[in-house]
Amino acid sequence: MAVAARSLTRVALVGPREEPFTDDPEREHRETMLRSYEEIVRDVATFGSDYTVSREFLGIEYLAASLRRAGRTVRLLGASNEGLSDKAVLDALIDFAPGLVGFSLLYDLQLANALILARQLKLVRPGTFVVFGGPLASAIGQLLLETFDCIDGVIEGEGEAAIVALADTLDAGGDLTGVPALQHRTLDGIIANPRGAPLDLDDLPHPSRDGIASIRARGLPVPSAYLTTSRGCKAFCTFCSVPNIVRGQKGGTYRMRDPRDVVDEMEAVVRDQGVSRFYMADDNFLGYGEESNRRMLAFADEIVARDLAVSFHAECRVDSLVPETLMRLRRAGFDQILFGLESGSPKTLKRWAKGQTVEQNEAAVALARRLRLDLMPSMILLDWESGLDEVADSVAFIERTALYRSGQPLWLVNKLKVHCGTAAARRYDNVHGRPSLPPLRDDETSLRRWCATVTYQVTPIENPHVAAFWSALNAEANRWSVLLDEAVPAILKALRADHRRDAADTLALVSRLAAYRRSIGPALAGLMRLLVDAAAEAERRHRPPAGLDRLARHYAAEHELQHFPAGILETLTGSGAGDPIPRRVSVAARPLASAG
Amino acid sequence: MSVAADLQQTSSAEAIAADLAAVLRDITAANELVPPDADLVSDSFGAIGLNSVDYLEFVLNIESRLNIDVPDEALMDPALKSVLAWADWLAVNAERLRTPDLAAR
Repeated sequence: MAVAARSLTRVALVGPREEPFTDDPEREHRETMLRSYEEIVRDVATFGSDYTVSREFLGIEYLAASLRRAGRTVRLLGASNEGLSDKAVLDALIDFAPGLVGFSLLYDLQLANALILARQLKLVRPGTFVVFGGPLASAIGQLLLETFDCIDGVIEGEGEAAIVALADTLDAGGDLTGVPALQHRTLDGIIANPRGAPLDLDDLPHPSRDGIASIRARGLPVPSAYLTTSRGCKAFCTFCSVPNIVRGQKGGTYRMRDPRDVVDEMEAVVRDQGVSRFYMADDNFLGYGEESNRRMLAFADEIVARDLAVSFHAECRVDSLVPETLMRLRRAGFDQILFGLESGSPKTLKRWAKGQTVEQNEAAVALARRLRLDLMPSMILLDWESGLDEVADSVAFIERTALYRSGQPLWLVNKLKVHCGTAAARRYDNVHGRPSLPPLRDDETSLRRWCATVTYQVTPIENPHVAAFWSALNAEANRWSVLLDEAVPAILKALRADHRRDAADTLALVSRLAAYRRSIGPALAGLMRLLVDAAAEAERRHRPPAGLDRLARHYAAEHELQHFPAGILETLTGSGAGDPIPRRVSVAARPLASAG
Repeated sequence: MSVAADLQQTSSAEAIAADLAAVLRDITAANELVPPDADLVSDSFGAIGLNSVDYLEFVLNIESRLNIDVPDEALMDPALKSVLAWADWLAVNAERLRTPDLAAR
């Protein structure tokens, strides 16, 4: 369908605000504690290794760079990064008056707010062309266009060439069927234009660093910059949204950048933005085979040759590791490695099509430790169809490899999230039928309910013994998480201030707190063992899995009392540091001490 | 910076690094999460196994040991990722961070 010619030079790109869903009491606490970067900086005394990630939105920064190279005026609004409310984003959009607005949806927690904003924007400025993109929108584009009049188009997969072509077409009043990868309405219904050829990553301009500039403009510290050295992945893990993004790209499934160009970009970000740490956002940083390995070596050597004082984090598959390459990368600043281990159960790894073995997982953990890399293990303890034998295998794996000895042991308590467009979603639909979507009205409540249903927010665990294990474990992990992630930062901030007045007392208290913080990992492993054994015993005896929650509560309370006989919050709030603990935290955490 | 000043700063950084490593050794003596082969001077705090509370404990101990007041921004700086990085930074900045009050306590 041809659209009317109009003057269009401005493009706004929005990273919508994330908001947790509230309809699942079994949800992990960390998923509900989304905060803006400014709030994180305000609340913590130190980043340490717990807070290395900024909220920079690299996807829209890539789009902005391509649009600006094409001569367009672009405004980026990263809601989480900038701490913008929906109203603030809407006001900024109205003020900027773009002809084209793109909403980038990385994942489910952004969907409702993006739709609310798009609706409001269309009411005020109906002539604005609204396009959605990103992994989530790519997965449900057809449904979004069928359901929401406020969306004019959805771009599937890579967006750089598509958004530039879309802007040009709108300016020229041309035919939208020529815009690659665009789904849009026509007189004949919704059509999906063919995706274009995979982009040559070395032809793309370096991303515009508006996110970092915004942080710096507000006088906040810049912890790290995101960076990609490659795109895509050749694996087909059932839970991952990447296979849907690279679908049909044949040789372009995994593409690499020229390592010298990557280091050029790093050098520019160090020079222009004062950044010294990078968070590699590659799907699989180390890549595949000899060509990837040569590229990694060239990348490491280039950083060393230019004497760039940087450090970086990257995510890797365990079947891509070459010790010599890792050592060269370590010399170049690679100090933190996230492995997608996922499971210690051969059955689970096979069911999730992970394409790697438990033995490879164990070897990778050992290698990372031998090379003295900071290891961040990514584990998914179970999914909705896990058997207790699979969970027991993973608990034993965690014990054997001492994975709980990491800076973030609570990340081990993780249930598989079913993401739209994945093989896991198709499997869930096959077993349970497609979700029956609730009716939509104009109100926010019905919209959020619709979003929760379409994004699989509640996937009940089938096996009652696994369900009881998860419920008891997650409840205590959530209490620990509330304490460590919400109470402790505020306490540390107060103790830091106290230390300037009275060094000795404060140091003793910080030492106790540090010992308690370190003990959470081993205590968590002990709790997993206790619960999985109790659940297995009940299953063996064909008894209902009763009492696991009480068992877990008693265990965690005993653990706390060993470190703080008077109760941790009582001890810390009585330290003279005032009462730095938010009310919601003390309410959520207090039952620990009184349980038993 | 002159060669002489550069040498003096290098030597100062080495002395500070030894001091800081001693602090770290003390506070990690009872830390079972620290690998036995950890290099307390050059390994990153993450690789050594320090979490944010351990890290604050380390910084507060440095302040007491060296009679300095570290600015809050430094605790947010990812470049200060190891004893070595802290020593280089302190070799340049320790003098201006000196706190007579702390020393007198």
